[in-house]
Amino acid sequence: MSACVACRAELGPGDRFCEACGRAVDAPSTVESLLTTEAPDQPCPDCRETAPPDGYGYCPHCGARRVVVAASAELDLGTVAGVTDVGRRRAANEDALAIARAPGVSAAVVCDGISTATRADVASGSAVRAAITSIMENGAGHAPEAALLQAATRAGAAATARAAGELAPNPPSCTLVAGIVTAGSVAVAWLGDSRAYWLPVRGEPRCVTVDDSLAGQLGAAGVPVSGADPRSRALLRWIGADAPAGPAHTAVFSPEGPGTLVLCSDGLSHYFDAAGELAAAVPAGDPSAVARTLVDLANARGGHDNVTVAVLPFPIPEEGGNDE
Amino acid sequence: MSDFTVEADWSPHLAVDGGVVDIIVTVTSSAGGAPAAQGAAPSVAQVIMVDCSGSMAGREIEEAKRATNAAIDALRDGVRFAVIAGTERAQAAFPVNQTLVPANDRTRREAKQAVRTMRAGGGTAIGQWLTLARHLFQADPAEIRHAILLTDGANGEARGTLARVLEECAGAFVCDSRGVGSGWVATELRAIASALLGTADALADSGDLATEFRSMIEAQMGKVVADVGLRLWTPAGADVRAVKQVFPEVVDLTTRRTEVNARSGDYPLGAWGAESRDYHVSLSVPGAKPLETRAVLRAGVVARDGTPLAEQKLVTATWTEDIEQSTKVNPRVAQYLGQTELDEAIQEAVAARKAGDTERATAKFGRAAKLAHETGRVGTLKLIEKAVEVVDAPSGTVKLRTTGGVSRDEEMLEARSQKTARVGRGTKES
Repeated sequence: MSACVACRAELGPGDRFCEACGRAVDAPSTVESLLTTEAPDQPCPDCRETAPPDGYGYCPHCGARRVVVAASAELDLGTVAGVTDVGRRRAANEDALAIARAPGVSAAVVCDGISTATRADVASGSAVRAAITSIMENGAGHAPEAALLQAATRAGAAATARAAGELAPNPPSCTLVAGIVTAGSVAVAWLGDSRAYWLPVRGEPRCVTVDDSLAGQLGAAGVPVSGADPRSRALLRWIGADAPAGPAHTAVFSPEGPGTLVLCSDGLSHYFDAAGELAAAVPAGDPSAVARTLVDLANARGGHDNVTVAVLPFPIPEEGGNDE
Repeated sequence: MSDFTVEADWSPHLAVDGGVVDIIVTVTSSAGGAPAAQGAAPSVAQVIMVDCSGSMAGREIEEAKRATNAAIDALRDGVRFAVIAGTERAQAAFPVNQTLVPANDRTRREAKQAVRTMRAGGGTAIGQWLTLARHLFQADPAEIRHAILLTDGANGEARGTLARVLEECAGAFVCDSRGVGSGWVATELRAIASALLGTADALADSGDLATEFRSMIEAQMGKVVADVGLRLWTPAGADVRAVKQVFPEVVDLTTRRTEVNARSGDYPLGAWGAESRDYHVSLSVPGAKPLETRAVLRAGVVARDGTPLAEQKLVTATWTEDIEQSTKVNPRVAQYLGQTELDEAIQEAVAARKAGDTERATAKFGRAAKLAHETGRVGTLKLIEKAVEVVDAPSGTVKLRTTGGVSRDEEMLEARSQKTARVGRGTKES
């Protein structure tokens, strides 16, 4: 039995498209390299069952919670890197991370599992894989915004498909932020409160995304938000079976000079709300060192939540030489 | 052809040393109410068993005949049917050649002609009637197989015969049983309903029989899916303690399990139209570390060939050291547990009366009165008040009315106590 490269759903014998995520089965793979923290093939930690977990991530033999995303991982492709970590307070990591590179393209996806959902890690794990695969197979270098919109749609379909055939009160769901850096542009798409920051070497650092919450929208409109009322942080958009319909938000710009695109879950932005504070904390160094430093800082400040950071330098560093 | 949904209510927290998880599984079918109009209506077979024993003589047999005619009139064209006249043997009243015939204007007329000639006289051998019905159904290819059994007396067969016959008939057809007159025994009516996945009831007035028969037939005409099964997956280490239908009636399915594989088993749910039923699944699960969350049950419904009819429902539990959390009971689960306990208390009370144990009967009737009060079962409380003197329902204080044999009111109470009141899904935990 074959499976979809993007979302791992089972493919029927004559299928030309994946029923779960819509990816063409024979879509060319132009990916030079692709890494994700989704880890769906781990045996059961309790009974060692090797049959895959069900759609909600539980063992089909003993019912134990199976590992579907890495608790802690560093992904590094040289020109793009990321780190995810369970943090200091949570029992499991429900964030997921994927990065990829192709000639002239760097891409990354961060998904943050919604903590009130059932097995949000199932959603975030399948979503990052579907999104990064979609981005890299869509000629991301030519039309990054369109590639991101389709990636978000496919991530939503994959997160929904994993738990299809079962009903729970709160189906697996997560946020998403995805970024593409090409030779001349930076493009970002998001749903929820995971963020993208643009940190230029010269000029004003800024948060590119607007959180899908009342607080986020008020803040973007220039209304000061105290942040005292937790209801104002409630998400208005996400991905998963019970998500509101509609395309992802996007932002595309052509940087005037070099800089760094940072994608992160709120495990980091909780401690670095303002872009300036984050820029001040970013050290010089290669993308993996930057990502590691930021994750360590979040943990040092309390690590209240899972934390995930992806770092994409612009322009894309030359192969083998990234300390110019 | 049909749309089923499976939902569940339970308390998700468990003590670290393990324990019992009680789950109310709600199965709902939105299958269309007019299968004849849908083209692919399933084939239906219907057998009516009428008690023609000597005690039926007089008004009872006339009302039974009128009811049988009403049932015949309610049969949809094409439904294959037969009428059995039951005494100490089973006689094929119509058709006489021991087969089923399709309903049409001519066969309905001939059947009613045959019903007119039925006479009361002889004994009561319910096992024989059921066995003839089984032979008729087994020789017929109909998908939905339903029978009505009417009796006014206690079964006259040797002890153990009925139980053996019911075992042979289980799965062959669904049977609703009704008692009329003054000699029927609630435990027998309920045993038939329980083994054959039907309903049991008794009518105080035989004049209500025709209406009752017609509505039982009409309910069957709305069935569109035969032989539905409840498929339960449980993890290694967990035990299924009990599986009971708790609405619209209490039917114990625990011993009716068919193994599917090492982790899954099917329980028979009979034929379904557009309706909704509730099941109580009780699991015993081992201990686990605090804050660990595991899957403890998956519930689904399947067709006869095992094809899923609905999306499976996942039930998880989280282990905790917080006693306040782990002892919290889901209100819907609590309501149904109270109602099944009420039914058990009434059965035990009547059994104690039959055994002459006045003290135990009083205690059980008292418990039943208290539970009927607490679960809002007004109708049942009224029946309890007829059977015994209820001094104070909230505290469960009652006095037996007689010290002699079991009264009709007590039998009636036992025949009806399995009918539950629906507990809606609106009561979610905060």
